[in-house]
Amino acid sequence: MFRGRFFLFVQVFFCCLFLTVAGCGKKESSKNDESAVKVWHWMTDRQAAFEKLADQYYKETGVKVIFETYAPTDVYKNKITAAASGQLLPDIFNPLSDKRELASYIKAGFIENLNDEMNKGWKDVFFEKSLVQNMFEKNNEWGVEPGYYGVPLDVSSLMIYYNKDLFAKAGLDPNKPPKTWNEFIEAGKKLRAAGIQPFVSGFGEAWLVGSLASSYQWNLFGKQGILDTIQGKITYTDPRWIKIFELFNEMKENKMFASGIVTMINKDAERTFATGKAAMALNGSWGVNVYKSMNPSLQYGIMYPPSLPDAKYPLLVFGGDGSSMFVNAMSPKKDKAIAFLKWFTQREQQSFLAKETLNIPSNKESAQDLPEILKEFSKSIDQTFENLPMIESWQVTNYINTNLQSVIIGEKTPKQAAEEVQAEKERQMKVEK
Amino acid sequence: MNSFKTKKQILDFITHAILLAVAVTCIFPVFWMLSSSLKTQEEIFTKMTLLPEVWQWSNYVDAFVKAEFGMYFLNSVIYTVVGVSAIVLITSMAAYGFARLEFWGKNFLFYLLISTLLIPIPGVFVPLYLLLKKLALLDTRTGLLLCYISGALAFGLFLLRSFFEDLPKEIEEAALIDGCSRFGIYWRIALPLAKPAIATLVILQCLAIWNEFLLALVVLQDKAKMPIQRGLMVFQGTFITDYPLLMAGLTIATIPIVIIYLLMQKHIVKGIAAGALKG
Repeated sequence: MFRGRFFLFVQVFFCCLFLTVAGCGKKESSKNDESAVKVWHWMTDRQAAFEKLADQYYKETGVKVIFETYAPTDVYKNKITAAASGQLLPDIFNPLSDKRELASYIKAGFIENLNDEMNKGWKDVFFEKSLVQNMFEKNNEWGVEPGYYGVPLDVSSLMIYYNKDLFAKAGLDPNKPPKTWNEFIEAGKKLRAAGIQPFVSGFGEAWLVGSLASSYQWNLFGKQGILDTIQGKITYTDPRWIKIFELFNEMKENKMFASGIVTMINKDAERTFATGKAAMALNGSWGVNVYKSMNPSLQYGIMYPPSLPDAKYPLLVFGGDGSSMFVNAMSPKKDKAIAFLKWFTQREQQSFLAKETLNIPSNKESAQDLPEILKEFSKSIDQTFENLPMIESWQVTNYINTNLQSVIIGEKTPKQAAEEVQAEKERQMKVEK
Repeated sequence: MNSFKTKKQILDFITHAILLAVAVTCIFPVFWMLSSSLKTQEEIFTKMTLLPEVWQWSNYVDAFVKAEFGMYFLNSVIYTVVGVSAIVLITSMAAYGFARLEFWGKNFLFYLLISTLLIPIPGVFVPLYLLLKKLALLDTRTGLLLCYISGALAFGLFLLRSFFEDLPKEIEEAALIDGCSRFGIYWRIALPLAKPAIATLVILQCLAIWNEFLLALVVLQDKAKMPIQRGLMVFQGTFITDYPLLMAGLTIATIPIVIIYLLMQKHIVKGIAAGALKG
């Protein structure tokens, strides 16, 4: 009898609790400061630095800015997609999308064109390359109104880190990293002979292997050549493309790759390099912060991917915009949001952010305040890929990346890989027609 | 006889060795979590030791303060207690109805509800978001709770219906003859007899709600309403994960769920077998 009553009491109690909590809903919502500028970002490790700057901005202007960070990035992206569907995007956000998807956000009226503001002198504070990635040129293939849309908060580039101690151990000069392809292969041979894995990267993440290949695409084809390839005027069976696949084959033949590189995610590759288990690592400028956190005593330098002797064009590296923010065109507070972003990208704020997060700021003047290794990275920003008015279809890009992986594991010859990519390109061209 | 004994001993030894190996593989991640929670970040990456060189107890304080666990912890307790109570109440009534009442389209409706188990949560983010917006329940605890409750109904129905179906009808018929109402039978007879299945449902739903993160992140915007998993997110940056604090935070977040599991474990095997095998 007692147990029955107790059970009933528990049920009633929880029902009441449920109703109480349910009733709280609207009251809680009204607590939110509606006049505050809301920013959604995905880098949770920057929350504290963002909040400090927001506090400073509030003291200076009386405008409250609320940073909300959501990670991992796929959850953040889901949140943005859902909020866009419900027209509930915050005042400042980033859809974390490629240019094609970004164009769809702009055309749907979610992102403000900042051309007028940028042309009033704002754009001059940034590294040029950090702006172009979120800029749309005239006659772009997506039909977006030309102009600047993104406000870069930081920049990044992809370089090769090398471990100075391991270089010395293999009899290589730690202050003279390889500059040409042949020197690079020779260094790899010496490292392997000394029992050291020469090269690591997160090639399990296809974009990394693709980025390295793209550097050589710029090196061998130049901008026009790349555009001609996208338009189908140059085929992927062109000897220069076969050469790109051969580079990876040559690295494989000379045992340069760390074991398991094709299935390795970048976090594992970073750990491999940070713990001295590989001598060279292709990684972004964010690696400076990562390696410091994993192994503060690691002695390393950085170098460009080695250029090819017969290349006609400069070798460019992946990078430019690190993370950018976009202003919600539908927000009634968009002027406040733009004013905040202008303040946020000034030298003092950017230097503070760079110091706190060990990233390269988008403000080029702040780059002078950086530690030496990041200064070196910042010099490479001008050598990052140029903006293109069109991009290769994602299906073909996927084919390039997976075929590069196949070459690395010896599943395909460079020629076979190039032919497969070309076959996919022809399929996609037919679909487009 | 001796050879039979030897064979049995060898078989026992092999069985125990396999079980031990499985147990070690299950326990090792927990051990690694506890051990890493007391190390420094550098030690985790550069020294492959089982135990920390210097035990960093301060990691627990840092994790608790940095992740604002106090606030998130209370939210998670509310979501778990209210959500699980509502799930038990609603699913037990519905399951009893499906098990004992006859109505048109009963099986069709049941399988329709069960089929919602096949829909992955990320696939419903956008429609759910729009629905909650229309109901003015976005960024509210109620909205999130309703998502949790509706998401668990299919599983609860599946588990409890087969359990109720298996209860002897004679007891209920005797109660009917004695003048007990249908609700009275559910409340006074069926529900107490279904304790093992309910215990299973409680523990599984406690685990699900306590560990849920994706839905909360999409539905809620106000940090003050977020569950405990949001706190753990603080240590997982885009490029860097603060492993010592993350492991300390995970340990803190795991404790309540381990306590609930220990309290209810004796019912669980019984409940799962009853629900799943006959379902």
